Amino acid sequence: MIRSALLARRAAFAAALVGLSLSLAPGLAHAGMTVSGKPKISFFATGSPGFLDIEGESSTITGTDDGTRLSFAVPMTSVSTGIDLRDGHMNNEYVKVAQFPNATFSLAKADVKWPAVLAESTTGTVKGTFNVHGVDQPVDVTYTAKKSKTGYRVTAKFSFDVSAHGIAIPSYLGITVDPKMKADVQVDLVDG
Amino acid sequence: MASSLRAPLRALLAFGALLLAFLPGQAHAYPWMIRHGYTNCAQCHVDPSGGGVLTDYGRGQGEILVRTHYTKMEESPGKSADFLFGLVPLPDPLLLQADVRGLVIPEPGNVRAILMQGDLRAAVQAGPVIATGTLGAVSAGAQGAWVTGSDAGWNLVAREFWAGVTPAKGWMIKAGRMNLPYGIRSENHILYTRSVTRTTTNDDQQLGASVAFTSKRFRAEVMGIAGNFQVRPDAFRERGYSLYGTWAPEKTLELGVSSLVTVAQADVDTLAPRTRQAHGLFTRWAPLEQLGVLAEASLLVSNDDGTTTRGVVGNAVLDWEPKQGVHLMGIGGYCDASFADQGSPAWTGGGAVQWFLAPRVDLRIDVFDGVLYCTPGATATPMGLLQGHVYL
Repeated sequence: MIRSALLARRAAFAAALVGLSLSLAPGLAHAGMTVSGKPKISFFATGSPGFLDIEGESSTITGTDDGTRLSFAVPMTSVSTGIDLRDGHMNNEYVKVAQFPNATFSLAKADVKWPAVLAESTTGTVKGTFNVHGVDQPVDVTYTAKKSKTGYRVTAKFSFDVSAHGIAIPSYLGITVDPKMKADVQVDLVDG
Repeated sequence: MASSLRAPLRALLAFGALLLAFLPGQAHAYPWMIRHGYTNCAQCHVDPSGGGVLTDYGRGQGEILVRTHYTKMEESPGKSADFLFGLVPLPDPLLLQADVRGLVIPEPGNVRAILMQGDLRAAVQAGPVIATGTLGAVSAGAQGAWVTGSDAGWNLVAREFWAGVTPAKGWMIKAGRMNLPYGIRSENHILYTRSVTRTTTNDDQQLGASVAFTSKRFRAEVMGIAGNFQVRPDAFRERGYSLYGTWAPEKTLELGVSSLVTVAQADVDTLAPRTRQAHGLFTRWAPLEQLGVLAEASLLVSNDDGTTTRGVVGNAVLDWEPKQGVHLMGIGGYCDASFADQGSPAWTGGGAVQWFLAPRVDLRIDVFDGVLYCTPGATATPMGLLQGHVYL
């Protein structure tokens, strides 16, 4: 379970990255967009039996913009599930942060519809690439981007399966974590 | 009757309004575990409504999350979480747990010591079927769980023995002697809300059958009560139902409702035919990472040999854990079991310190003023209690 929690956090990070990249899509028109404020990346996993609710959170994310693609990275060690031992299991036994320190997400900037008018919002679903444990997998990201005075507030969600990333299904003292996890991201993007 | 209902209804509505007023955007509930995301009991307890035998995961969390650590915990607890610290390896289907709980009561010119619990608990799981039971001894009290009948000495007690089956994920059907599903399950059996509704885990278990449901946000249990067959004669046995249902809108907030109706030909207290009802609300909430709030209130309706009375009972507990394993509590209670009697309502208020100081060991000191049980007109008295608990 601890391991699964760790995985979930990583996945959440990845999701956050995805969301960020989506938000940066407007960056197409505004190359060099950067993350500002306090981003929030959450991953959600469920352990059974007993419907154990696991949420991992991070507020650390970096973004790069090469003009055509937006890429985001979340250091997995920044993801916290609220239990240190569980975080340690997730990072060291499942995600293997020594080899794969970051969860990353990238997408084509042009795939995102960016709002042009202050307070206007756009929503959509785009395809991106989520990487955790060193394995790329395509993901569908649902996003909302709202134009702000300084840039965009972007929220994004996606689902992922840690087993598809080569991560063992976490199990601890009889509790097994569902490999299907979800990630939520909220981030403010500004023109660099 | 309508007018007599207004007061308790107003009290209950006020309690509900109070809960709603305190609901924040971010909520927490269970003092120790909900702030870690544990809204349900089923991960850590064999009984999906909590209490009783711990699962392997529950024993592990007892080491990881409950007790104080004096150095950073970097490894899994391993054998230190196992039965008898792993000295006697158990086969996978078997869970064993020994609990010893003692109480010291300082009195003027005397110090009284009571063994409240000396239980061996066991559970065996084979596929979807599980069976559990307890057998132990007490030096005083717990009459409702007595197997032997010594009025002036030690007695054997069997608090729980039931078998259950899990026909589908999240469901359990149980039959046997079990804790009544009502309100916030707590080891603290002197809480008015537990003692007045007769839903303690000390000795208020009854024989019956129940259906329990657990999901990510909801849990519930409904029990048909056949009576306490460790009480004789049959006229004393209560029949009826008991239930609760909860909703956890956040992983740190749980809101619940409870209901109980029982009928006995002769009540164990009044010896008259009696119908008891209790209907209440409760919440478990962690508004801050280190703070838990437990609150519960119930309307009480009793028909004693044709005369109906109404009352109200409530408890609130604030549990602050400034350092893992160290709990500082504020506890309050109010009980007016019958608005019709002339005695003043019972109340209690005080504080407690509970320290999970070592693997499987906790100490607790309670200091309070008021009335220990819901006794109309009783004189408030300052009291102190020292409690020690060890489980293996």
